[in-house]
Amino acid sequence: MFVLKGKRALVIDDLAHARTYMRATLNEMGLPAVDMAESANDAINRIKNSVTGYDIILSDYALDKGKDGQMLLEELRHTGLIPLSTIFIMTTAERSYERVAAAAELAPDDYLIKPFSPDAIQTRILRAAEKKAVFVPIYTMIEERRMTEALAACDKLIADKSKYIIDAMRLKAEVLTSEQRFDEAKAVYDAVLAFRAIPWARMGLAHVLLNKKEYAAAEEALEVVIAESPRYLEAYDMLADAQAAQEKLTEAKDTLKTATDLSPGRTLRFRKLGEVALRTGDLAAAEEAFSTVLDKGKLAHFHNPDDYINLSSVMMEKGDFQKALSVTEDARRNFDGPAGDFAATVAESLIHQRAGNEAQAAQSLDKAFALQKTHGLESPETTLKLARSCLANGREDEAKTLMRNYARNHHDSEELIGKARRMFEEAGLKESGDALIQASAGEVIQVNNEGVRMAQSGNLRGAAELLLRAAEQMPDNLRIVLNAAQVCLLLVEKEGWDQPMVTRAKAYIQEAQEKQPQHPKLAQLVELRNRVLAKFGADKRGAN
Amino acid sequence: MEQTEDFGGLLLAAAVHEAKNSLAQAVLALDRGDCGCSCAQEALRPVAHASNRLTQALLLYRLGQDGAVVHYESLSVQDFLEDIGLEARRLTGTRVKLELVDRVQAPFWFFDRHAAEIAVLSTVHNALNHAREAIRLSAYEVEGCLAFSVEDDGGGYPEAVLNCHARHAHDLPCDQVSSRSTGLGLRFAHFIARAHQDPQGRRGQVRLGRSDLGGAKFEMRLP
Repeated sequence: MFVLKGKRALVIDDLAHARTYMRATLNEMGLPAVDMAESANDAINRIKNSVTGYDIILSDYALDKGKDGQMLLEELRHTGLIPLSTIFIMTTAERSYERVAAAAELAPDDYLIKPFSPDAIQTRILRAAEKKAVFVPIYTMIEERRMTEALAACDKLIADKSKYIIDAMRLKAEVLTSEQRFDEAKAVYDAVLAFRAIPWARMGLAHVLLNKKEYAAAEEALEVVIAESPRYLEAYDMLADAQAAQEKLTEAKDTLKTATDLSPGRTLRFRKLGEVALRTGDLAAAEEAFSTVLDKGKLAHFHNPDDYINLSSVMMEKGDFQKALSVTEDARRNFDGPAGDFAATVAESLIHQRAGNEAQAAQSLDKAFALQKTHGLESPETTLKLARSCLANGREDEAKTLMRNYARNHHDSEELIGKARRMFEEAGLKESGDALIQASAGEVIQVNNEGVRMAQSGNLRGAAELLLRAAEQMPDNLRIVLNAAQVCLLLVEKEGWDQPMVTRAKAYIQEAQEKQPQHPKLAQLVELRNRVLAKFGADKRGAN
Repeated sequence: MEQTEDFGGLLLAAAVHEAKNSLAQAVLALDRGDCGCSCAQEALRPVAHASNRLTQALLLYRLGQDGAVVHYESLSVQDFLEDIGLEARRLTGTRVKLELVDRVQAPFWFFDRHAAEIAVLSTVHNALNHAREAIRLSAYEVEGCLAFSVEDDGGGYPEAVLNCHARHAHDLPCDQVSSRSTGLGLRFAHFIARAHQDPQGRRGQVRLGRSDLGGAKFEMRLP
């Protein structure tokens, strides 16, 4: 039974009077310890530095400094800074449709629309606690991969005609989707949509359709979502994916343009827009998009050399080799180190080749390989460019080695594999390229399945060893890496502390958080890690 | 999205006008040299009413702007009734007895919690102006719809208003300003009800009638 007395709370609002009102109200309810934060980053710092953590977080949606309440919540979940048992309630002056959460666990436990009374706060907190008591055990089952149990728990809520039926259906559909049981997931979403046209259900349906590669149907569903909720930005992103997958590139470009006009906040979207624009040959739009990425990156102090390379590619396509080379120089200057140098050098080898400077092209290519040997740096984009450059300079074997490695590391990413296929096609090697990619992907799938099979049959140690070896060979393959992390943690939980395994698991999780913070497996893996650490008393709140 | 005829400026202006009047009333109550607890309580109702009207105005404005009409959530009607009951009790105080009746069987219903709350509370405000001793707030199912009703033991709706509603089969708001009210709350409730639609295309509606308590019965049906 959840009791308010003695619980720790954090109030987040950029308005001082709102903060103090909330704190006073919570004090009156019997919560003596109420901390306050004035922005998302302030809140994150407080949570990191808090020894005991918070049981209840009340955050305003409209926060200062570019990070709103929903973005804050998603970051807290993705980085595991708050356990799923922490109640998170969003306060808002009015309903905003802009950020509908992608997954159930990324949604706030409730919304409070201002003005609200102290009674309302109390009631909502208690109701949220009641709901947590029902769902947190199911989330735990999910993170421990006890999927059958989790699904059974959802089914029971549905059969018992609990007031949480729809939440249970949402969770059930998400579990089924993650288990690749797409038809069953679709059936659940269809059932929800039969009740009412709910955006998340239609989004879930679109997601399933995309997974089933039914791109036209996904496109249709997403167009309905956008018509009903024009500010639901993730829908535009998925729509662009569905359109691009059908080679409807101009439509994809237009979709992304609409989204960036609606919300210029997300750099990632501009990158995508630039890439699609480049593919459609709309160099002006590509240049604008990539320039925007660079401008935003400079402001946020986070950008990567690839953003410069993208822009220089556009210049190269325009035939403006001078400008292209000056952009690569910019990259080198702004990234004082091997990463910038490597990306710039690779790009230059291509530019020189295109400009007809064979000798300089060969020189750059050699330098690129030398840098790679010494520093071992590769991003997917630069690897592709390096391979492309090799092919253009007649160094086919080196290109193939690069691409075998690339395919093993990224076999899961339709986007990256698609880029690889296109690269080979551009170089006139479509068939042998496709065969190479297929073979490499096959190797990965085999290892992964073997590891999963071993884990499921109880041979956790064997699975851990296999997957750890694979993770070393394909460090960028998040599926392998995260499966390795998961099996290591499960093994530690079952058989006892093993420092090297825990260290590797933690490192892999951190890597994934940096590379793909939205990865669907992350939230549950982070919970597992925290639980295992807590079990052995190695739990240091906020430490990654 | 369907809109009522004069959704735009007229309705907004009317809402703001009423809010202004309520606030003026509150100022009068508070502006007494000997203002203590009881006159603060007296001021609470008009302030709450003003707040309600302004929230309605903002909601109408937003709905018109964003194109998105209703934010459906699966909600426990029991919980919802409890919540608005709490708010309603703050308004009725001790003068009027508030009865809550929950006869809904379905474990959940899809509707817009915020909009429904504002609509029902607005009606409670109106009922309070006319009730003698009793107000009843009920939730029940009728003809496959979820219904919320507010009844009082006051004077009841004028005959003309009831006839107008019956004549239009409850599908149009009747533009009747009467001694009973400005009709603004009704228009808002009507708008909100109609904005609710199920996948079969059925829309919500507002029905007015007589209560067995002796006064008015307001019923808002949501599909």
